[in-house]
Amino acid sequence: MLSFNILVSICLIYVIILFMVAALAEQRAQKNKLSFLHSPIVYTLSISVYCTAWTFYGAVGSAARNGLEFFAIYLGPTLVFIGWWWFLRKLVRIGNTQRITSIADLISSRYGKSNLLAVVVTLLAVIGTTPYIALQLQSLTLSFAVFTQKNANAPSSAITALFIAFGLAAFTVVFGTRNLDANERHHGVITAIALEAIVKLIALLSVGIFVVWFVADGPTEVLANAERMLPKTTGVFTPRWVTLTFLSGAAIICLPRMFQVIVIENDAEKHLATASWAFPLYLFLMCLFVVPIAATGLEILPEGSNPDLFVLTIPLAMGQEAIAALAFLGGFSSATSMVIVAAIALSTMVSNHIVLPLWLRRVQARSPESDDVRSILLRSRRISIVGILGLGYLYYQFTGGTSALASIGLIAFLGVAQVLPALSFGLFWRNATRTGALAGIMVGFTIWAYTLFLPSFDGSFILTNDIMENGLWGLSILRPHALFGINIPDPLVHAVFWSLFLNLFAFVTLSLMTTPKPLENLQALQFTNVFGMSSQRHMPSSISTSEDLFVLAQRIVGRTRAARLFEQKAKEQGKPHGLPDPTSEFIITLEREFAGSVGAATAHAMMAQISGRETVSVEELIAVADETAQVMEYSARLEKQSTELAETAKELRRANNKLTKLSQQKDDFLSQVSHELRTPMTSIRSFSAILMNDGEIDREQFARFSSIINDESQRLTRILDDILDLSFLESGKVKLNLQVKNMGEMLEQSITASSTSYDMSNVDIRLSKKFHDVKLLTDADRLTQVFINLISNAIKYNNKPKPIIKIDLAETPDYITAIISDNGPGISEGDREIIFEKFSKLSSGGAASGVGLGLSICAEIMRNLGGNISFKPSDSGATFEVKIPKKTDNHDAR
Amino acid sequence: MTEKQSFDAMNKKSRGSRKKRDIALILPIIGIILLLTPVLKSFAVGDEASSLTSVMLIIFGVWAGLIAAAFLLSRALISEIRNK
Repeated sequence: MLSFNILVSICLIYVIILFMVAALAEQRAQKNKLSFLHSPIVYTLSISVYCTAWTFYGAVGSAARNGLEFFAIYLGPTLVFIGWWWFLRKLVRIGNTQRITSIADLISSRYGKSNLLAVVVTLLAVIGTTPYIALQLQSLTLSFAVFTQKNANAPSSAITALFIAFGLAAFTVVFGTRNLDANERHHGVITAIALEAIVKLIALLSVGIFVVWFVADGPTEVLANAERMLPKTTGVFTPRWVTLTFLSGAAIICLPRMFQVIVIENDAEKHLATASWAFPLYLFLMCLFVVPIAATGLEILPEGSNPDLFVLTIPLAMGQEAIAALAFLGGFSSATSMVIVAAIALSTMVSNHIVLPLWLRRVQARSPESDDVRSILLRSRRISIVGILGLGYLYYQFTGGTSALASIGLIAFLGVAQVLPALSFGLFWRNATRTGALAGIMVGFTIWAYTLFLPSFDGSFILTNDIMENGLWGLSILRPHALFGINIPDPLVHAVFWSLFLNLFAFVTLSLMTTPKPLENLQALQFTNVFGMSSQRHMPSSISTSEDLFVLAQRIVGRTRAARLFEQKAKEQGKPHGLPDPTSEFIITLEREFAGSVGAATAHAMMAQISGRETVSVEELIAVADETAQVMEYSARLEKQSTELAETAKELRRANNKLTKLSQQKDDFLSQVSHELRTPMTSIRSFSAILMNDGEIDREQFARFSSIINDESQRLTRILDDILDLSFLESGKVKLNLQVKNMGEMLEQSITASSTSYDMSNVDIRLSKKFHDVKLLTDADRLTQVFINLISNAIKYNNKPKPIIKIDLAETPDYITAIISDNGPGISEGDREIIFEKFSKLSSGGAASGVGLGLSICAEIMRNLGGNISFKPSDSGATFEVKIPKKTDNHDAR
Repeated sequence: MTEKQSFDAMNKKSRGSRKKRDIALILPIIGIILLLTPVLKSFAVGDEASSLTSVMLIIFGVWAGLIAAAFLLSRALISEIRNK
């Protein structure tokens, strides 16, 4: 038989190993060597804190008493985890983005950072968890007692439990309150928990293998035994089975310690992907040998042995002390890991949601900046841990050994499951309100206490036997196990049904009846839409100064971290030194950062206190309302873009047509120009050949021939001059010869110049008198060139017996416009677009000479002068408008 | 042509990830149907005497199947998380 001292030594060595592992992990975490600590395996193993001593020992006991029912406790979590993509992932994402510190914080944060809600959930969690901690103490002392029952010197169970409670409190205080930021991972604790998870799995598997292959004769015999020994009355697929599965699924989300390891200690969503199959696998392995152990225990151990301790007593009965010791360590691990994590989770809740708000209220009268929030928080967290364990111990002392404790696991499950409606609906339903959540939780909690928790004391606490029999105040519809006279045989199914049903009913009804506050609305949007949100953009407008904020930050997150935070922010704002500006965005970040330490409600209250306001800004309200507007705006933008695209396509098509036409013109022009150049060249060549070879040419002929040669050369020169002139103008290198000149004189000069080339005898030119009053600073020669061209064209193409040309004036503050119109044939619609293009020969003007450069030269000149020339369609004839700036700078018009 | 191909590929990819997400929803529903309703009990072989063994084997079988499916699914979905 293992002596008590050896057992205690084993425990102490194990605890020292745990301490070392935790310390090592903390050390590595501080040096940022986190590769192992960050692995999804550690995360998955830490989730196995779900398997407490209640499951480690109790599953076998449950199998021995109730058959296969115990499976339900593991199948619920399995279903939740394989559906991780839809629920747990959202929960973890919200936990990370909102810097959630506990389940109470999550609920409070979702419903407008309400501290009242946080307090209610915290109390609920404490009431639900304390008996659970007592249960762990009980199973630990029971398992100690197995080894010490024949030892007279061994301490009593009360002393053992006290020592255990002390040890656990010490460990939790040392490793659980190292960082103030509850949102950061507790690397040390988590690594130790992961190690404990491995130990309990190995322990249970070893006992199982030992039982199946060494005590019994292999699986066949074990199964035959099981068939014979285990009860079949309470089986699977019954209402109780469904209830248990549902309850355990709810527990894996709502239990404070599960929330702690799944959501708060998670640092990468992809770890959840691994846990989605690895954690069910872990549970699967934990269950594998439960039935064989139970069946064998019933077979070989004397009648009346406690089936809860079969895991220990079978190896002991077979004389296998090593296996028994391993099994003991497994149970020890299960109990301690649960207590440690639960204590951390609860102490965070108590200190953030109860102690700190009370303290804040107390010091509000004094200058709050002078106190150190950090030390207050750390101290309150440590005291809470000791307090919670003390509470568990007291509970154990009062009820220990009674059967009441054995069923407390499921009772605790249902207690914390009361937050499930508020939590799960809060993630998906935007209209859930604070009032609804509060009402639902309160109603559910009351019914839970009345129908399940208080009756579990068997009439010894508040509810008397009389009330149990006849209902409160003798009203039979209020009987705790048959509410409203509806008889559901199983009290657990009864309590689950009524508490959650009425909880949900109150929650939904009141949510629909009340209107959420703006802040609630805002948080609801952020929670339900966590995957769609890019980042926080709702901002409280700032009133506070950076100094105040810095002081506050130092108090909450510590001197170094606050300094680092502010420095980084200042750098982001482009300030090399000094404090950053208190922009809204900065304040949001800061509040988040604080929330990681003190919870959302307190952080919000503190920021509100320092900035002196608590209302939600207009921007925030707009942001809430904006959601629909954004969608609409987006579709409107799309529509606009498609219209723009259609417009562009149309323009492109037009440009393409123009290009095709222009290229055609160019081809035409090239052949034209070759032709034009070829004709004078031919005549020059032939006449000069005659002059050269024919010696007997008379004087008159000589004069005629040489005059032809002269004319033709002049024509050649003119064509070449035009081309040169145009390319010169186009290149923009023209030097303008600016001078002040009277416009009337310019126009008269132009008319005179035109009349030298054309017969003007019957042409009527009506020049407006106003031109003589206008003086311009411009390049007169170039401008005259434009007028000559236009007037000559008007005469040249006019086919009327009496051509009329009108030249009128229009004036704006900056521009003078000369309007030159005639009564000629005009310009056909198709040609209007190209008349100013180079080399254009109009389809209608075939007879006239020229190579189609005149108007494009005019356009280029006007561009160089800073004005323009345009064609205005009119009923009769053609109208050109020449727009000249009153002052021309000698600038490059391009 | 290449543009159209890349368009098709993109379409296929998004449809693929949508399907994966749908499977993620269907898997727990299948689990609930198989584990919480007596659907499987009707397939249990053997008479009343061996009911405990067969029911236990059914539960373990379904459980193992769900774990395997969750394993495959998580490998498919982990790329979705990385993509974001």
